Amino acid sequence: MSLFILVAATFLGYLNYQSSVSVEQTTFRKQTDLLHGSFVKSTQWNLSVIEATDDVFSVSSFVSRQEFSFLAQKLRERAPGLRAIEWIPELRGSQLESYQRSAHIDGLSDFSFKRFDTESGALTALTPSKDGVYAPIFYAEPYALNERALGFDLFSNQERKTFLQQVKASNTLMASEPIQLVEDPPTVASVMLAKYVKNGAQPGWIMGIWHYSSLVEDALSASPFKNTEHLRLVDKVDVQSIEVYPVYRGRPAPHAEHQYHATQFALANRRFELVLGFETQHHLGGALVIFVLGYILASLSWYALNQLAARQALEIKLKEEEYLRDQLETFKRYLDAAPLPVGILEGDRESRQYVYVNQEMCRLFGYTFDELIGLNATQKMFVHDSDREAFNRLVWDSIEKNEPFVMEAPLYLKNKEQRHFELAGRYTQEGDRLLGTLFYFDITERIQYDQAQKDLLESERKLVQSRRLEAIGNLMAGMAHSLNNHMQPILVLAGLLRRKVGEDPKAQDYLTKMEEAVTGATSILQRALTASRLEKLSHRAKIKSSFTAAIELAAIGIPSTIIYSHQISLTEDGYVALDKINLEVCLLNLIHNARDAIDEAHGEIRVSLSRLTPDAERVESPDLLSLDWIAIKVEDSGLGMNDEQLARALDPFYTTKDPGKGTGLGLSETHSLVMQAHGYLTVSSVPHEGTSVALCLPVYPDASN
Amino acid sequence: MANLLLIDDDDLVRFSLTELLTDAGHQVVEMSSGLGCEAYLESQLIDCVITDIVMPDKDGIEVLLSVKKTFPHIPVIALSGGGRISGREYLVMADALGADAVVDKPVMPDVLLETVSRVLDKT
Repeated sequence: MSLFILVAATFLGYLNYQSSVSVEQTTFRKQTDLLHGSFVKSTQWNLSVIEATDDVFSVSSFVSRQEFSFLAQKLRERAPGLRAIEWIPELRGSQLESYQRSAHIDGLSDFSFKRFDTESGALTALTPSKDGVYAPIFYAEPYALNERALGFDLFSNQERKTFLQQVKASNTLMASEPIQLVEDPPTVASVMLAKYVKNGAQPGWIMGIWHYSSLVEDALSASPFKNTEHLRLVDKVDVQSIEVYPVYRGRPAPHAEHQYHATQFALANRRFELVLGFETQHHLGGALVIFVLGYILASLSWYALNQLAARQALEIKLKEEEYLRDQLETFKRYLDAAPLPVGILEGDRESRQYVYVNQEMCRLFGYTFDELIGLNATQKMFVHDSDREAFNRLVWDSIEKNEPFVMEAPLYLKNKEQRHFELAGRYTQEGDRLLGTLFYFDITERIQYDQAQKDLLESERKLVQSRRLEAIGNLMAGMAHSLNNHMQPILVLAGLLRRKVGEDPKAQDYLTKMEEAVTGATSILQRALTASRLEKLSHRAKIKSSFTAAIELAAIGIPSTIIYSHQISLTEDGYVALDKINLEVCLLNLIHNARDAIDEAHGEIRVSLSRLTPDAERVESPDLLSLDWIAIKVEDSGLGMNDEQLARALDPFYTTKDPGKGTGLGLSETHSLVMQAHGYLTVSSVPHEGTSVALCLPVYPDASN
Repeated sequence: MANLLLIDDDDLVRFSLTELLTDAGHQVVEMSSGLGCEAYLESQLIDCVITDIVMPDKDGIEVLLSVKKTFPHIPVIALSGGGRISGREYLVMADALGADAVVDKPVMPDVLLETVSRVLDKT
């Protein structure tokens, strides 16, 4: 028997050497195969690996399938009453594939995948392909009368979690509850290996459980040793280094008398103590066996732990990569689901290109994905150079202030159509490279809508204005009619009275004043009517001569302290659809308004006659656009008007002049006359700076209508 | 001097114009509405009709039309206060419908007397 052990030990030592070489020379897969094949099969040790974080415990399948097969067989041999054994590995990614490949070979038809619920104690069937999640690897249903069966002791979540928490809290590996196999055979012992793995900020564990049942049991059964008392760590373990925690699990068989022998051995700078019990009569050679067993355990443990650590590290790396890939895919999916165009750009100070664009970006701009990637967005899309420059400035501001930016600009689509966008973006700088994300909000419709709203408001305003004028006109017409009637008796009776009072000069003078008052009132009424009435005009005035005549006429009423100038910059002469008198009335109105607006003695009035490009929106009918147009402009340096005054400037009887100074009819009368001549009036004013009024009139080639 | 028929719904206007015309030597018959003017013209010798245009019951245009139809030889002077919907257009219309003269209110006394003389001279 001693010979057998020596051979086995030599073989294992060789294997250990081979495997160590392999670790460096072969790929991960080969290492796994090695563990699967040579190592595990040759030793027939039950090894499972538990990966654990604080809350989640998962178990790798990489050795446990075969281990399980072995364990299950042993369990069933020893526990005929065992009803179910669950092997529920973590099945994810490559592990799932590996499982599916090997599932049929192993032929574990007796076993199903179930999840054990520690609270209810129920077992739920799992479909590995669907429920590819972690689960306890072993679960053996408790053997009757044995509450500490395998599944509960070692693999139930709660027990394990408590154990791990204790380990982590104390920073030491402590003895756990005894691990007992279902039958609790006195000769079975286990080794639990634990390694605390640090992966960045995330703590993790690798734990291995060895049932050295077969080897140790076989060895022991042929040896003088009848029982293993314990195998335990003598030192406290520092979790930052490789830790091996050997536990002996078993109970002295009540029927046997044993002697216990112990040895200590070192593993990874830790000292272990192995205590074996044996029957007194077979104690010779016991020390050798203990030593050999210690050596085997140490070398196997060391090897396995390193394998586990390497695998774990690789696994973590692969998982990280997988995670990043998943993240990227998810990211792209979200971007593509976004209902607005998104572009990610990269480049330097001079130019930046798309490195990723979402589907909506391709759709809206009419490019394919490949066409957009690499495209210089700033160069290609902006319609205006000024926008491009503004955009570049925003990009730099964004980098310097580390803030997002928003701007509005029209952009070209691929087919050169323009649409209006709001660009929201943020750029960062990494070394020489600029990275940016741009969101494109298509606001074309919004802008069109806003414009339409504005036009609508404007036309409503004009409508209100014209209705108001009409209403005022009607009112005025009625009023004028009545007042004219009332003037009649005054005029007539004054005339009769004139004869009655004879030569009395004072009485004659009174009557003259009365008649003048009536004539004045009548004239105001007449003008008011003109202002509110569209009267067909029969004559056309020649522009230049009428203008000059009116200018001279108006000069009479202007004080010499006011600078009064006029300018004609018109080569062609023509006719406007106003008769000479009315054109003069218009000009006199404007010039007298200008004069009255200058409250101080000094000021300036400039009158000009020039060609005009008419405002198509204000022209009465499009036909008129084919005619030449003139503008007669009167500008003053007077008081000006505020917006409210400006809005009412054309209303009849509205005046900004002091009471008694004006009738408020001048501008509205002028407006009315200009409208009759198919023209329009423009008024602009800045308070305290002055007012500018222009008569805009179409020019006709001849005098007749 | 002549026999005149003055039709105007405004008492003061009628009074003052009657005073003026009478003072100038005419015989004036006043009516405050055009209603019944044909019957009067039938029975009396009238040289000229002076009528306001805008009046209730029967306006000056109707007066003008019926006078011109029945008594084409009697001249008619139309008189109105003007205004877009109630006056000036009517005067233009009166002119077009055969009034011998149209006069804007308020008319200067001399102008009215002159107009009356001119119309009478024509006939």
